[in-house]
Formats: sequence, structure tokens, C-alpha cells
Amino acid sequence: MKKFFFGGLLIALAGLAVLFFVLDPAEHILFPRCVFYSLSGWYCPGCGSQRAIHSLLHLKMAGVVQNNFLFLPAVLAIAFHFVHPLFNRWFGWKLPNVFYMKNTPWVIFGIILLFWLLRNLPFYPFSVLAPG
Amino acid sequence: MNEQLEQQPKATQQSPPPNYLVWAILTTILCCLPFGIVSIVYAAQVNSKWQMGDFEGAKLSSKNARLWAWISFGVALAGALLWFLLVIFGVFAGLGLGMLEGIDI
Repeated sequence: MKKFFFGGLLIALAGLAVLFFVLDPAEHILFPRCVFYSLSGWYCPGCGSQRAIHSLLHLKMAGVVQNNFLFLPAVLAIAFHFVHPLFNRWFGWKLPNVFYMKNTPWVIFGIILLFWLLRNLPFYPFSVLAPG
Repeated sequence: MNEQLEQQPKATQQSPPPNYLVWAILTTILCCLPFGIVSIVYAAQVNSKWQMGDFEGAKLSSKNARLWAWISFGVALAGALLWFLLVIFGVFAGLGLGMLEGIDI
């Protein structure tokens, strides 16, 4: 049962990846707009992520950073979370489980709130943080 | 031997409950409503309560962190599905209007 679930999940993710590779979310109406932005007119910390995925799949790093400044750090952090136990086992490294340190969640909380606030300021240099 | 084991506080024998911080980050950066932020706050509580020795509180915060990560994901999924419905509905409405335009009255 679990195998089927993960298999289905993998296929769905692969399908989404193909969709995000072929179509540009900036140009197609098929991709959902941010609910928060649609309701309030303000960017949220996740705005631009679909375009960032598209850029990432095309290996355009500049596009990723332009659309969502935190997208790349977030992906790297999540990748680290899943990969570091393997590295520790294979190579005998002692990479710490960063996410269980006492202040990590607060630091991340602060970074995201600050990012949320700053990317909505309409003047340079903060306007750079707005998606697009 | 046994006595030594029993003297150890429970916390050192087991790891802290999962704080689901990764999922909180994932839903916050990849979707739109601020519910992922709530999950991050609960994740912070898991870590600090565990270190203070409040194990039950840490477990409760862990549950809440997971709950809000799921809420964040669920709302994003519901929003996406609603969007697809609107797009499909809009396409059909557009087709209908196109047909109307073709009729000369």
C-alpha cells in the first residue's frame, strides 16, 4: 500500500516537473495565482516560487533569485535535512541536525517575516526582492 | 546497570519529537497563506520546550506544527483546485460567448 502511495506521489511530482519545465507560469493562465496576493495586492513570502521552479528546471539561476530570493536557500535547507543523515552514515561525518537547534526556527521565522515586509516596499533596493 | 538507566531523565534516552520545520518552510515558501508561519512558531516551541524539560508541551507543539503545515498545504491545494475549476469554467464560458458572437440577430 505504502509502495503504491509513494509510487503515485513520485509520478505526480514527475508530471508536475514536466509541466513546470514545458510551460512558463508567467505566461499561462493554467497556473494558480497566489491567493494572498490576489486578495490583498501584497506579495507573500512564497510569491514567485512557481516561476522560480520554472527557472530552476531550465537552470537559469538568475531567474530563480529574481522571482523568489528565498527559494534557493529553502530548497538547499530542505535538501540538507534529508541528505545529511546519509552523508553522516556513508562518510562518517558529523553534520549537525540544524533544524533541531534551539534558535533555528526563530531565525528562520525572522528571516521570512523580514523578507515578507521588505519585498513589499516599492522602492530601490527592496523592489529587487519583488517577484519578476 | 538498571538503576543507572532509570536514573537518567527520560529526555536523554529519546530524541525530541519531530518539529516539522522542513515542512513549514516548504509550505511557507511554496504556497500563499501565512499558515506556514504558524507552523514555524510551533516548531520553535518544540525545540525550546524540549530543552526546558517540558516534554508533554513539546509533544503538543509537535502535533500543532504538523497540523498547521497540513492546513497550509491543504489550503494551497484547495486554492489550486479552485483555480483549475475557474480556468475550465472560464474556458467553457468563453467558448459559449464565442458561439453567441457567431449568431447574427
